[in-house]
Amino acid sequence: MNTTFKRGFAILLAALMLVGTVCLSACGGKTGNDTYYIGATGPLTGDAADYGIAVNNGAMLAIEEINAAGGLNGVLFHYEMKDDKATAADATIGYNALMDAGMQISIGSVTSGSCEAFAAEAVKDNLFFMTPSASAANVIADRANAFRVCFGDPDQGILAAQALAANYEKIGAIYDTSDPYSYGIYEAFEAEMSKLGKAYEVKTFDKDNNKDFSAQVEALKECEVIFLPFYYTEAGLVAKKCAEKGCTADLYGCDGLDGIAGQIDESVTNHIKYITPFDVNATDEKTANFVKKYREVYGKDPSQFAADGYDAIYVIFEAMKAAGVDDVNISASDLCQKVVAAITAESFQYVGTTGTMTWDVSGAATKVPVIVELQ
Amino acid sequence: MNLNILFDGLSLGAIYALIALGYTMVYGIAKMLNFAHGDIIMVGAYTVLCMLNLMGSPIVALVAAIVLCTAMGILIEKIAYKPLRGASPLAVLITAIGVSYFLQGLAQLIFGSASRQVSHLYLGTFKLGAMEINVGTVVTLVVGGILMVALTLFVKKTRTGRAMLAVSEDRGAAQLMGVNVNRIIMITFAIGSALAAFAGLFYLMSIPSVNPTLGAMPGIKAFTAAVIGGIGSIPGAMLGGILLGMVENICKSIPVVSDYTTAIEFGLLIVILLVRPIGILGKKRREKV
Repeated sequence: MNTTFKRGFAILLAALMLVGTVCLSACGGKTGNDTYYIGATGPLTGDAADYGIAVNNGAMLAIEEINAAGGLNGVLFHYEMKDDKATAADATIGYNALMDAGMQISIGSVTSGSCEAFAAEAVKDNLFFMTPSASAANVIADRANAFRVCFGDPDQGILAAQALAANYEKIGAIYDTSDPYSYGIYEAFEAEMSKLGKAYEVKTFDKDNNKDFSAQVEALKECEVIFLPFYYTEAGLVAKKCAEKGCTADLYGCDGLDGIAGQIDESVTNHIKYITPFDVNATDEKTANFVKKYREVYGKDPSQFAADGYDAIYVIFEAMKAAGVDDVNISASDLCQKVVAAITAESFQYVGTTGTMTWDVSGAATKVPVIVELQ
Repeated sequence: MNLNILFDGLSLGAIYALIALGYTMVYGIAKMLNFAHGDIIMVGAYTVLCMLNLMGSPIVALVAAIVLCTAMGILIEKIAYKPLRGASPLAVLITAIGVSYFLQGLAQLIFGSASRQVSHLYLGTFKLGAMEINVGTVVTLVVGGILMVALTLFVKKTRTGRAMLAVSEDRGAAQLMGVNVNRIIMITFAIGSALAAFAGLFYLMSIPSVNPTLGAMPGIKAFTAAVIGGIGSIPGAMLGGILLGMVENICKSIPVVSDYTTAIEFGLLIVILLVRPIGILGKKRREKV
């Protein structure tokens, strides 16, 4: 490359950057919006991409429906998810990019680790968010602007402990020490089990050793039930390892197990049960409609994550409607105040694909869990 | 100690060993760390998955995986590494990491991010005394052993193999003696990638699920195994792999210790590097000044 060319190139780049700055300050400002801006971050690439993509698909479906029906008093919604690869650092970067682009309200992040970082930023700007799936306790703790659709981790652990202690004698458990979702449930499970005075055997794994479960299944082979508080990808591998090693224990999990049907084959004969707010085979109109549309658009069954994403968008929409929001240029902080007041009001209730939900100021959703048994 | 745990460790170790063979060959001859090697296994695993669904025969799937992985290895070498032959090792290393991300991204584009389960690869078990032995493990060990012996013979006895040794000893001198260095490096990549196809199949026999980042962790573990065994040494890779697989499975079966499995594995690497930096079976080489 000769110098003249280099210099020309540099000038061109500088000019482009200048245009870029001008544009950002002009188009990114809070005035002159013609849509409400809902932002989110989630893993669209990398190991956890499956979950982020599902939430994103569900959310986009909800946005399409809302916009097709005329939006909120004729004002449409703009929705965008930034890729955070399930890391805290990228969630912060994504948050800042979304704020610069004019985000007014949000569905937070998909995974707990990212959502903690997202929440730490959002509380400073007083931005309302309704996370579909970040279930760790501290995501919404002590934050007036933070709400969620899914169950909290401790709730599921307690429910599981009670169910297992009542129905089984020899109990085993495996959990992921590197995942806040998994150890969040497990810690509550452990506490409840000791309260109930029930003994059990526990094995662990972590994100660098989440493929080969020979050692864990070998150790828990004789149990009547194995508690699996983690996601379906790993749980599928545990189930197949059980089949291989002739372990006939029941497998009992939480909402993360939804989707396990796609990860196992006929070799697995263990009974699989899990606590979940969403059942793809449910017959209520809302769920059936959602499942049908999701299949049409994406060509596969929605997971619990997709349903959570879908519900999160609708809750925001319904809450904005209930709050009587009518200014498209409303600031994030003002909107937050209105939406929080609306959503925590006693009269507010949302019937979604993941159950009938109400919220209090803690930000946690109150809803009834269903126990699904895989056929 | 439960004997099944040792046997499971042996099976895992055999897979690490096969991957480590690919690392060690490429390092020994091309003097570069091919961090995309783990992702070639992923390519192999996806090929096996597709062919199993299409044809149903594991043998056909293996052949297809070998062909595709070999072609992929040669192509990557030609496009990404060959233009950097004279460049600094760091540039080549970073390129390899780039290739690794490229392959993962490509797989996600084509197959999506969800894990896909693999059926039809489970061969059943038989009892030997108190041990429940997985037939897949036996196949992995036997084929792994045969491949290692074949590779050693190939390197020692054939003209191409000796040319590989020559390039590994002194690339410049080998070139002066009429060895086509580019061709030898290409063959090395081809063999390494074909081994990765085997590793992909055996991986699926013990862990029946495929996702785009499947190769990353086994790749790093196998690289560790190669260094422990002595990078550049073929029996060293085999030994290192099996050692690491055993250590991993034993750690995982002991309470409390199991939380530190990964730390112990990489800690082992540090200990080996401190005590014997060339690895267990590595050859000492005098640096000529």
